[in-house]
Amino acid sequence: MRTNCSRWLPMGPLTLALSLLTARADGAWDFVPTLMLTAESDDNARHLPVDQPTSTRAAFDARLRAGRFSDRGEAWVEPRIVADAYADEADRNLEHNDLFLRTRATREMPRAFFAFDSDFRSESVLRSEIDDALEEDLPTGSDTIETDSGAIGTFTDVRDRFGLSMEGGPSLSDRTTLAFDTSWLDVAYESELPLERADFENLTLGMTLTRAVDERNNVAARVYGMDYTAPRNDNNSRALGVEATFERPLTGTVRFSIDVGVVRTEFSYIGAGFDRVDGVSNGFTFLFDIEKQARATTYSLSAGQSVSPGTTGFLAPRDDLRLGVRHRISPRLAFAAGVRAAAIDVGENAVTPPRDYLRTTIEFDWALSERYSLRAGHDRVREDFGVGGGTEIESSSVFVGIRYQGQSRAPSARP
Amino acid sequence: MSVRRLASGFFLAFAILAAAPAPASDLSYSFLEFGSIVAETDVSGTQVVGLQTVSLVPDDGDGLAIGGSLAVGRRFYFGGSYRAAVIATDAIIVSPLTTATVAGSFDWTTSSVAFGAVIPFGDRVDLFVELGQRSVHFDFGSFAGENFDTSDSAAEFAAGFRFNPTPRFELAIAAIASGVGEADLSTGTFDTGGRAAAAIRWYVFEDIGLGLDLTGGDVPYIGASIRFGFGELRAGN
Repeated sequence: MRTNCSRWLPMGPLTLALSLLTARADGAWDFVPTLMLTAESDDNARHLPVDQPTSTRAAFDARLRAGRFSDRGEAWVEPRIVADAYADEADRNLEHNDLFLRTRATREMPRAFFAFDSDFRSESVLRSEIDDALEEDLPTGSDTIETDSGAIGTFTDVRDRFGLSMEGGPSLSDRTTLAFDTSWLDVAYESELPLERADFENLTLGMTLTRAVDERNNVAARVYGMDYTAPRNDNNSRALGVEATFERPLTGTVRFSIDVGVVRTEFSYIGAGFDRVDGVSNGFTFLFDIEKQARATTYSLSAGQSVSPGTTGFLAPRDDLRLGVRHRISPRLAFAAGVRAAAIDVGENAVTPPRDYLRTTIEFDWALSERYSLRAGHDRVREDFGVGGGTEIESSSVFVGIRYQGQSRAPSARP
Repeated sequence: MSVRRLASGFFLAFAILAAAPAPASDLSYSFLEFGSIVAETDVSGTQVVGLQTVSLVPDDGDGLAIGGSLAVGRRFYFGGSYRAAVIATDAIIVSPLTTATVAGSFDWTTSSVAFGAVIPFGDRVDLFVELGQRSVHFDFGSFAGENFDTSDSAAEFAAGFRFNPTPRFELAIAAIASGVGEADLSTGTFDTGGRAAAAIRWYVFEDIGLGLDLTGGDVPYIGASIRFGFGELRAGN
């Protein structure tokens, strides 16, 4: 058993100091609280393959984003807690106080830029292993690496995830930028018993050359390497990849990008027969992304295949599909829908079974005032994992809640 | 043709190009491309191991391709490529008692780096010449104790044309002479040889093209590729 968040706590002040140092003393302070109280009813809260009694849960979600911003960058820290309580005594073992601490700092200089992210999360596997279909924030830094295992399995487990990432580089010319990036991820579970999940560490180093070919087209080339270790199956893998990205607007509000690459992975791990498996694999990666940002409607669709460091115990190929739509029906009423699908492969001769899942969420938001709104929606998860034909699990929930959203003065503030 | 003569010709062309006008076509020499290939080969070999004779009958397979180029100034470029495929093969094992056919596969990989020069003909045709180094590797398992692994590296010379009749289309052909041309898996050696290559490319937008490539040689392959162009990005400018 590997716990817990205490070994990462000293990193908190360090990351905060580095963030504030990056943004320096200019700019203005900004404090943005967000509070949510939600009640939800789930027909299979444990994600088990048998009929379950309905579980009713109340969750209080509180976060405060505090930091400084200027026209040259920003630096903020965001502590967050999600505390919950179940109505039924039999569900009390599902309760967990999820803790989060994120920091981010960006700095634009005349001929260079720098960005720093840290992201700590300690949360129940009920919420960490199946990614949300609707995201509140755009992922940055290490958050862009998908590490959900795609299967709940033992439902009382807790995942601790800590990520650090840095990116920066010079402008080589008015149209060409060189960027170096590094991210480090450490994922640990309190229990190592389930086959579905394993602790791991991953270090990524990358270098990207981006070129604004003309007024509309951007092309980028990236070389990256990953070093992955998972103690449970003694997996030591190294990957080297090359990818290129093309980005272009289709209309005034719609952009699309396509990313294609190849990655070569050298792996060594203990297989299902307790024999050591060594080998090399070559594979393609790709990502197609299209998004619209308009006053009343935003949508984004992305589909791709990547080689991701995973809690499956492998540096494994995974297919991802993500669709999100947000539409403002009237000045007070907004609608959002999201679809998230993933298929995670682990290769042959692995102890960990492959799995896939589909998650859909719809949500309506009724603004009571500038800061308060009522939320209601439906969330559905379907998992498919296991050996020899797989195990199908479905979970469906409805939720209602109230939200308080503080106002930010920073230009990058979320709506 | 010896490599020394190839190199002499190349450096002569280099000297001429240094004084020539800059290329006028819209074709970019800074790009990165990725592709999938289907390869087929009749390269074969026979080895005797003890009382057994092992003969290879390769078939076809598929793999991946990656290539790239960076323009240097307005007339030159550095290029590189990597191709890898897993190709199915049968091994016919003849012994005094019986004859057996065993199915298997082998890995074929080739990589090259080259320095090239461009001579424009009008605003739609470029002649290019390249001098580079190519490595080829055949990696087999063992069917009956034999070892067909063969690899070598040698210089190669290429010349060809790139033609864009319209900004959206490109046709390219090339002839290549290589010191690692024909593999003899029986002896584990390569002979000097030549091959031809052709490609057609459709640029969906100015800087992203979908291509179909056909390359000959002892392991001919057909490939579908996507090319990301970097426009006028150049090293040294």
